[in-house]
Amino acid sequence: MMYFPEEVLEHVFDFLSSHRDRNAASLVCKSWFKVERWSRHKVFIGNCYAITPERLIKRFPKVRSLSLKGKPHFADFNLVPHEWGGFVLPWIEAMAKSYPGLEELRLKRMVVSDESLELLSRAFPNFKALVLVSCEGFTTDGLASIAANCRFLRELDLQENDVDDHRGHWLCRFPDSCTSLVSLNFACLKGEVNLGALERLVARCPNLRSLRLNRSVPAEILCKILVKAPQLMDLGAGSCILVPRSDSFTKLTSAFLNCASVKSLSGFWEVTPRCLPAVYPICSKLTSLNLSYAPAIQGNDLIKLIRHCQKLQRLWVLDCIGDKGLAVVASTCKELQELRVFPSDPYVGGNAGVTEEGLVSVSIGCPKLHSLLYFCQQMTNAALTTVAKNCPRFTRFRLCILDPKRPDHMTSQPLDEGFGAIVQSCKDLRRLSLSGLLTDQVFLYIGMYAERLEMLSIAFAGDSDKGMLYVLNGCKNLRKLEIRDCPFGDDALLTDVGKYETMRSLWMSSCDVTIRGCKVLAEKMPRLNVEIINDKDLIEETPDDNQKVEKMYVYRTLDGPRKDAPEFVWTM
Amino acid sequence: MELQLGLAPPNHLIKGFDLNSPEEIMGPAKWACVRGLCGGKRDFDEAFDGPIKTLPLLWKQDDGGDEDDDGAQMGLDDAHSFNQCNNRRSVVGWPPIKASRKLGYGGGSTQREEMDESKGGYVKVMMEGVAIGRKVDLTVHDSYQTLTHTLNNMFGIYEKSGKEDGAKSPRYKLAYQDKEGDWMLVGDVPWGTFVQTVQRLKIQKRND
Repeated sequence: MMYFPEEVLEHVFDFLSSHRDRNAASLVCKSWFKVERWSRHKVFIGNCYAITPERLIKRFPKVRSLSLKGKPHFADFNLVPHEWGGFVLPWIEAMAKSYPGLEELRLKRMVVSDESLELLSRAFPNFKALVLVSCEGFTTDGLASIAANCRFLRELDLQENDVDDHRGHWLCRFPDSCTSLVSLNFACLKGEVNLGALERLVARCPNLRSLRLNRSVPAEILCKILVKAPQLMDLGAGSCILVPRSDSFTKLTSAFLNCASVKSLSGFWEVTPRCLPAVYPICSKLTSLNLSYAPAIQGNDLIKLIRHCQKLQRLWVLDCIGDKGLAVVASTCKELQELRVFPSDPYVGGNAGVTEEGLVSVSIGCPKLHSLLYFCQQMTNAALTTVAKNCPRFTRFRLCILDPKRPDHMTSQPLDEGFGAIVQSCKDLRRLSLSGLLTDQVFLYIGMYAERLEMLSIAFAGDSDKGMLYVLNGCKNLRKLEIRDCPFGDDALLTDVGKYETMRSLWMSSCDVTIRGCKVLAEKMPRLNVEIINDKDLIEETPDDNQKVEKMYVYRTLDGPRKDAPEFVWTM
Repeated sequence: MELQLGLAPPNHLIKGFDLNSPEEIMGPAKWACVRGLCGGKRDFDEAFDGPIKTLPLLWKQDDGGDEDDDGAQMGLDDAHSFNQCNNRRSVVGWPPIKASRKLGYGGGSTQREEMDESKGGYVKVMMEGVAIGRKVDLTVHDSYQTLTHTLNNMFGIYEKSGKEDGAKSPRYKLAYQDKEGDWMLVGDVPWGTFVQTVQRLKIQKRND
């Protein structure tokens, strides 16, 4: 019999970087389970309420890096009340006692208080990386604690958080001895920062590779920063208001010329479009460009900029790029893998924006495209079918036609066939978002063909329970299903209750599910939390079972109903 | 057809609804938005089966929509302001983009920030003749239309068809108290301004 001492096993497991691989290895036998759990340093928890911190600590005693996700995805669109939950404090408190070696914490859609940040900064002497995405609940005071107390901080990455900016001097709180920063992203902060402190900080961190500024940082300071940090690889410009052909403009151009390593560019919250040529020197090396927060860059300025970026792999833009601009993308960016087109003004229709034409051009010109988020005015089945044929490698396909329930604008038919073509052609599709006029037919296609699908977002679609059932029956790898405003009710919900334990979560809002349906589901499946969110004042405390449920969130959990649910969340 | 709750004339243009104009009917369907606690049935579908369909002039209660008058109410209001702009604006959480992208693109405060000044977004609503007041969360609304829809549902305000029993439907007006304590008719000012100044709401019977 082969005998591997545990040290050898542990060494072998070191090569397993993916969570799924390590999870699989832990199931092989008791010995592997034991070695794996003692050597696991990184854990990812997709739903913070699926287990308690105590259970995590019991299974994995030596964690150094934790990733946690809190609120359901639709919280991004104001569909979840702010007090719903997702608090990180209990996790930090528990880890403070048991994980003295914690180095990294990555949070998404969680509520993070200043108290949590203060505790975090003091409890883990080796703490190195904090990444907060779409979080809320903290102020710049919390950031000041992190800056002041984390002596070996390498990464402070704030992405699209809702931060109360006290306009304090949090940046100044980085001590002079802090020279370890590799990544600093405060682009989402709305307030001013101490510019002198920023410059000095950048100057003393020779390993700084990624720096994303907020809108309060003017072009002159950007210039000085680039001169001090020519090794930057990822840059988020602040504001770039300059007089063309002025001294500052010339200096900025030459500073950019000196930045041989910048591969990723973003920001430009405010910009004088005629100064964009200052950026041209680095464009040919860019692999990632995000101008989705730069509405001032439009039309020809945008197109001229893009013509310089032949190596782009990722492009995020606003829909003011137009179909014309997308045609330029198609002819210039042959390496493009990911495209996101956001609406410039979600409420204005008419000629602004992009249509199916732009998408088709890109599908023709960019054969490597595999990830798409596209907000558009209109779509046709023919276009989707063409795109499916041209780009069979889609792994993420999210299409949002701005008017709900809009049919094919040439034929007035539902878009079932178009999306059907996508799922049939793109065998590796893992994420799909639908829009436009859709019947149960599209769900039949999805159930039939989308074998690898893991996440599906549905809005204003379908005719009957059959639609939802096609998906639940067909998509074996489904992990997250989120549905709003669809005619799916209790029958669909209750036909295969076991399915939900194979998934992370199910969200249904403004559908036809009733309170009774939720109660039955909860009764049958004790390892699911069936939450009903009532964010309106209730006059009656005990509503009728026949009442439809406005918002329901179902998720598997090992630890039963959560104890921190606010009074408007009922766990059935 | 008129809105059930009388508002001051809105600031933006609303296309008059014209049954004779096929483009407007074929255009994208307008979505009634925030549903009441009971989650009204979407009788909307009955009216908007396909791209070419005329709207019923008067809402018929037996039109397949068995129970929910909420749905009926939505149908009527949709007909009144059939406006492409408002289609998207009326639906909460649509289009699905993050708040940071929606407002001012990094320039404006998020809706939540604005709301913090008014007690987390909730304001009390009293209706004349109703003892118990309700609270409505303004943060989940982004226009007067969505607000009046919610209030319609909350207080069960709906119009009885003139044909059925000949009873004249009660009509209401919506007023708000601003930061200075004055009572104003809702709809006078842009939505954003309204939201920052409103302290409480009152639904009063209109004396015609």
